[in-house]
Amino acid sequence: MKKFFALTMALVMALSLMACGSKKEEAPAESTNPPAEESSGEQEYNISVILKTTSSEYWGYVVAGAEAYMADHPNVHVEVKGATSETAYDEQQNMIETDMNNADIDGYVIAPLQADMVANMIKGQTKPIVAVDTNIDAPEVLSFVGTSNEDAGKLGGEAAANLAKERGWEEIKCIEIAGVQGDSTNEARMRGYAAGIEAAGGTFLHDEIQYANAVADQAVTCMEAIMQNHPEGIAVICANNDDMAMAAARAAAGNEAYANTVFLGFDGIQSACKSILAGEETMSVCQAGYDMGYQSVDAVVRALQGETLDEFIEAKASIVDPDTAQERLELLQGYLA
Amino acid sequence: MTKKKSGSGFQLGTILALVIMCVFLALSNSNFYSPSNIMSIFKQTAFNAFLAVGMLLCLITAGIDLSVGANAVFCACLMGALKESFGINSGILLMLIAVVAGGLVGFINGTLLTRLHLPHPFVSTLGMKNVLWGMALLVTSSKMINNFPKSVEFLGNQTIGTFGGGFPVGFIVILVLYVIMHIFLGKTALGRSIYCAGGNMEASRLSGINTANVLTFCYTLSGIMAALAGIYSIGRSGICNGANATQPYDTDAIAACIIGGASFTGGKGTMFGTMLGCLIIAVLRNGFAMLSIDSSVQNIVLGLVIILAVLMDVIRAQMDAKRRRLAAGK
Repeated sequence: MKKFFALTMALVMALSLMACGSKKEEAPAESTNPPAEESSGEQEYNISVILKTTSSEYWGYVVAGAEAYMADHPNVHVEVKGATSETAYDEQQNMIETDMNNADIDGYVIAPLQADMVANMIKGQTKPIVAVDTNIDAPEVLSFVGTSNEDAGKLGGEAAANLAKERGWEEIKCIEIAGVQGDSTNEARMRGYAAGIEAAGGTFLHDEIQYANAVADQAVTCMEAIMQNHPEGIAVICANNDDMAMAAARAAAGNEAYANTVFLGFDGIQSACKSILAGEETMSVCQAGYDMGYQSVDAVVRALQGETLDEFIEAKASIVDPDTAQERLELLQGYLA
Repeated sequence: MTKKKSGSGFQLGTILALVIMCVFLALSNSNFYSPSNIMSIFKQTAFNAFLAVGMLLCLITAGIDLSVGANAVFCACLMGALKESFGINSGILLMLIAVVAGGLVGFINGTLLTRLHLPHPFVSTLGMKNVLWGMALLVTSSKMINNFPKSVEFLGNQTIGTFGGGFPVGFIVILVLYVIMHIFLGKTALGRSIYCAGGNMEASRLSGINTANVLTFCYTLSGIMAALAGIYSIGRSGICNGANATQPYDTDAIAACIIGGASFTGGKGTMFGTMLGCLIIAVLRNGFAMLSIDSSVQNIVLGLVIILAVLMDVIRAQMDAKRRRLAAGK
């Protein structure tokens, strides 16, 4: 045991020394070689991009967009980080706290898990901050890049209701299979879906919302209950993400009353595109994750260069349906290639 | 004999609780007793029932396996990753790899406990849960994967007959598995050794039972059951997603076992009781969905059920201790 402990300690010390050693080696390199700023004539910037998480396909596109900006602009160094999940609020809090105190960072891109909490954390920060995906109501935030989840939801709700009409539904009723209750993204998408369905003349059944915690197997359970309660069929089943929409469509497969139901998902990820092409999920709302990542870093850099930013930089949401799924799939595969 | 009678009495209470819940839900929603909804309940029971088999074995040994849910998700993701990245489309091969991987994870859990002497499986399996969560995201590159071969989806998707839309194959497998496990635990030397090890580890060791091997077996089997649950989940939802590894599947499995008569102090628990526990959890979740109940209320009710189940376990342990004291005094 003592040997094991000693070995571990030795390893830790060795790694620490290596880390110190590498810094020492870097220092003279910087002093001997002229900095990029002087050689290229461009100011170097360190941008911290703090996302809701990096552990999902959708956020992978935002990461890809931010990193693509770095590849296009060698003078900009982007460091992307995110919590382990979209409910790990404390993890993101720690990341923001740490980076706000890091003098080496010149500007921030933040996708807040809890916007109000982040608004308090950035109080008094003078370096440029840009919000992405979800807005932060704070004077320190120079711009918001994205489409609000509510607007995107509304777009999807209207499109789904209209398609349901085309499919012959006379009474457009919609039930949502929702994500995590209380989660701000979930609530915003829900409001959007409801607004979209109602704008298209349908009825959003608020009393019959099913909470499936954004998990596919729970969505199957919810869909089974919906089919029990509505044997006559429902025109639109909207879900908070594609996982649940696909699972719900799968659960309803074979039920004649649900053969023409529109299954609407959110995110428009690769597997959703495949599912739409296979005739399972009907359509999906997708936000431009890649563009958001790219544009948000670009906005911070422009702010650092003294440019005044627009308060809102739109990254348009769109609908993926059988006509556009193949194109979208190829685009997404290209982003992650 | 006395022990058997008290166990039966407890299970009678559990059956009664299940019946009362069913009556309440039937009165609240007329669709509850429709044949198709009953089949849905069986489908919803199976995933937790797979996990609960392994969990029960660990609980009988006075241990716990908090990595079962994450292991199930990891095994599902591993199959997805092999299909996507390596083009493996043989369902049999994918399932075989998943079962081996799940078993290996369980074996590591058991080895950490018995050979590396980690103080309690709570620590090692909790750590393993995080490892598996990360691994599940890593192998899938944080992507959700669908379009699995039909043979992989068979267990969770296939039904037999036409009554209520068909009797789910997954639940039939569960029934067979539970009968086999019931015989295994009660009639074989290894099965009895598991109870002995849970009842008194040191006494079992001194009586010649290789407790380290027994415990390793239990955790390995728990891993294999988790892999089967992962395969079942693919058939049910058609997808795998590493992000789901954080879901509290292990809590449901523990609750099912404890409701069914298992104890955190070890040495207790039956397959029949565990099945009742799984059915109670499934009926509860089905009822929540049928009545479109808010997550907030769902969490409160499920939390109370778990607290109640643990409280029952504590009361039972106290009554047993009192009974032993009285018997010793006579």
